[in-house]
Amino acid sequence: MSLRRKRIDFDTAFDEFKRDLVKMFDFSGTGSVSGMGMYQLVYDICTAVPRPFFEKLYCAIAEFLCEYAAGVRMAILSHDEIVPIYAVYWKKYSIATGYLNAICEYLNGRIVNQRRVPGVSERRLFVGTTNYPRQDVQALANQIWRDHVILEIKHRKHNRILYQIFETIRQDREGQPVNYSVVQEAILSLVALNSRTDQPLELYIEEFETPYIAQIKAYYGQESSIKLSNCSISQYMRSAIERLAQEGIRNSRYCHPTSHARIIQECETQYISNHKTSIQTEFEKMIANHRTEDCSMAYSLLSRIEDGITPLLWSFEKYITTVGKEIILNLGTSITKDPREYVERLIDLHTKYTEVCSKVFKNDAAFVAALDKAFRTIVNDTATNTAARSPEVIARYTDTMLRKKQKTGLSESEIEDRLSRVVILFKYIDDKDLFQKFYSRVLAKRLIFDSSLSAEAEASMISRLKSACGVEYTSKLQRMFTDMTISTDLNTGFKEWLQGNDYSNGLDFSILVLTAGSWPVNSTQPLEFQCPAELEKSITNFTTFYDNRHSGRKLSWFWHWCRADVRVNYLDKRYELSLSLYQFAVLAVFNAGDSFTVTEIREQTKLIEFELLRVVKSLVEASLLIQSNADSNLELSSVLRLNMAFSNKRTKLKISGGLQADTPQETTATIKAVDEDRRLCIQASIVRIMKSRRVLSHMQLVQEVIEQCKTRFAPNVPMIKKCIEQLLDKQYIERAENSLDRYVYVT
Amino acid sequence: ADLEAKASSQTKKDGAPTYTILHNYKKKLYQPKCYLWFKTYTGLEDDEDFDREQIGPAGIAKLCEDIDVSLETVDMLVLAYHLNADTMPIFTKDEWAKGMKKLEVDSIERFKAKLPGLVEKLKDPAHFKEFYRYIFMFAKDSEQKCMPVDTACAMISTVMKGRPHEQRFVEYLGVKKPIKVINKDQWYNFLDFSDTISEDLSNYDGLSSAWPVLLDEYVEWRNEELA
Repeated sequence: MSLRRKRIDFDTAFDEFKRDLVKMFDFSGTGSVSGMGMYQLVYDICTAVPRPFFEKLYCAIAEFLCEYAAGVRMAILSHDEIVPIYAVYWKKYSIATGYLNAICEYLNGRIVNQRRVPGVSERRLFVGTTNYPRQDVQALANQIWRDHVILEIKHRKHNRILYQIFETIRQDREGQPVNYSVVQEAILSLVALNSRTDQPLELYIEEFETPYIAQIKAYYGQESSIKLSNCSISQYMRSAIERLAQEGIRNSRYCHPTSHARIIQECETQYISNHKTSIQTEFEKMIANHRTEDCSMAYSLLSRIEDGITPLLWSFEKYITTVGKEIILNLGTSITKDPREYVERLIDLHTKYTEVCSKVFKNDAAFVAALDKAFRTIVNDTATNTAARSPEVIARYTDTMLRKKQKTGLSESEIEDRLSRVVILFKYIDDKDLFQKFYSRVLAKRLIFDSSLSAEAEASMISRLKSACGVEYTSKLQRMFTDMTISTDLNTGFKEWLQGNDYSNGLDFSILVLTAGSWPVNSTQPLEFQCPAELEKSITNFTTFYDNRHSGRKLSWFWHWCRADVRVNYLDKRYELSLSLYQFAVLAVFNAGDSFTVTEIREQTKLIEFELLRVVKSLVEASLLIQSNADSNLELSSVLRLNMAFSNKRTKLKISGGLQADTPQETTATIKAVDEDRRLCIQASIVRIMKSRRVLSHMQLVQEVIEQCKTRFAPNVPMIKKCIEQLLDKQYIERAENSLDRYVYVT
Repeated sequence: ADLEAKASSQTKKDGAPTYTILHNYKKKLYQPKCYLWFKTYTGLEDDEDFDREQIGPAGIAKLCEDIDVSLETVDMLVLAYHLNADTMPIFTKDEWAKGMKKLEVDSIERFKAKLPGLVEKLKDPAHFKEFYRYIFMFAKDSEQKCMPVDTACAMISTVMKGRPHEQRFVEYLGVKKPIKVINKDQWYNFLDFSDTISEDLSNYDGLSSAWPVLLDEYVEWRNEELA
């Protein structure tokens, strides 16, 4: 390599250069072309003295390329199938121009850099007198190919290249075998040709992508319409999925990555968006007839387009709601007797559609939410069947599971399983406070009557409720357990104390001391009652004992919760009866004689008439007592005799059973108590909110109250409004001056 | 004295005399005469239960006759408002003296002349609002927080006469008997309700607004009737 500048004759030098150039482009003289020699020639021409010829050289090269390209064009056009030929020529051209560009490195520098010479007043954008912009030889070669091959054929020969490209792809689409690698090369040449310009994809988009998408639109627009009218939805969806998958592959076979998304989108528009309503309307049937495969196809198609699945969600929710409501309706009043069907069938429904969500809808959060919404409607629906008061029913269900000696025939692990699933339904209950009240009632009965299945089962149910609703929700329930533990210790202590003081009277006497407020016992009770003389001594003893232990605590006796186990001596067998205290008191009267009127019994027991009649009736029904005027109604004047001929196969009898069930009055009282609790809860939250916000609009206040209360219950707006008015009246808050819907906190 | 009084009102029209002279002059002039006028309504036979220094129901009836107004119209309530009377149906001596002085009135004729202007003034919304709110305090038993609904109906019919919802609301209270007493919030809000909610309830926006539940229920009643 010589760097010395020489005096040369341009024509002679370029002739030499051109000879090698021809060989290079023909790929004929491989091996005989010296790259180094050509490089030196370029350098010499560009640095020639006295005047360098670089512009002249550049123009000469351009002229050569134009001639070459024109020749190629002729050659290509002489074939019928021009795409493969084009691809071959283009490949050669691009390799040759690549070398040429390397050889002309020095020339490129001179041409391109001159553009940037500072201080040149008028920037010369073009080389010499030509209209070639100042660009390197590669870019020049690209421009020439584009103008002389691509655009020339486009304008003068009916765009034969692109036409044949599209035709080939169409054949591919129709399943004929094609040589797609040459097609891809031809297509990607459009990208390569513009790669050195400001808009590298312009040519590709203009010449290929835009018309290609237009063709897809036409092709699939027609195909989808035909398919839809000739096939079932199911077949239609299958072919849509197939087509979309094929186009994905076709994209990678032919197109530049930038067009993939656009092309797929067009396919989706034609196959999905334009016919989405057909799929969406059919979806209801798919769900109802359990056509899971169709459902998942509909989902996978419609989830590709914006808002596509919204109607599906709606149908899904509606269908589940309908099924759920049907279940509720068909159960009728049987729910009141047995909560099991209600709970188990709803849980089964839930399990089924949770599975559908995960298998068919890929656990799409929107479908899970739709399922939740449906279940919230079902569980809180009391309009369909007034017996379906879920807080109460579900609480009773847990009771049937947690009470011992049930005829369910379920193993312990099965019971555990059901209880863990019942929490699923529990979570949907709006009135969780109501559930809590009912749960604590049944729990209280289990604990007091010692009928709980096991301490572990109870504890695990509580912990489930706790994890669903927080510590505060179960704290009262927790305290009930604490009372039970304390009472066990207390009874042991009491027995020791009795023995120590020699107070034992042969009665096995045990007491539960329950904290007021933690237990769901109505404070207006207990009713008036005279405890049988047989128990007086034990009660006095216990009161003394307890006063010694905890002075100053007040004990109230809840007689109606008490039970007595007695052995009878007056019959042929020594029956052991399990009685409520009231039943025992009534029977104890008969220690003094064989026959009494109800009024006489009442004088001794002091029970109110309503309760007394209930108790006496239970004893008559158990045949322990005989009503002398058996045909007429039991009333105060009725005479009762001890049934001396009582007989039963078993010696251990439970008479108290019927008296333990929740009375309707208790249920109403529970609901009323809950209502009052809610009022307080809402008022407290209004005051809290107003205290921190000072001034708030009506709507905001209502929103925030709902937000604060929703973990426990769903407050209704009229109730909130009433609470607001009560607070206005009590002057905790007042209405803002000159504004109809703002409140101000009163300090 | 009559002449002098006329002279005073004359000078007032010209706006010439200074305040102090007028004040002293008025002090001497009005009180005895005003008191004598007051006394003509006290101690009437039917008002035996009332203090001799108060005007009771019979006295008010006589007053109505004297000034040619009906008890059914708003006029007497306007007087009560200007006297700032504390409890219906009593005007005390103190209220009378202070109120009449403020009104610059000491006789039937002067009052009759003044009254139309006072009633006219109710057309000013701000003034009417103050008057309306005063009525709640005046018409309820001073020991109670609320007003019996019968009184409230009578008051609404008188005070709100001809305004939107007046008749229908009173009808609602009478027919459905949703409440026994009306509280201050409900009373105050009824005026705003009447002012803002059109007769056909088309701009009432349900539970999202802050109207007392009583008014929500009134709307519900109206809508049921329409449906």
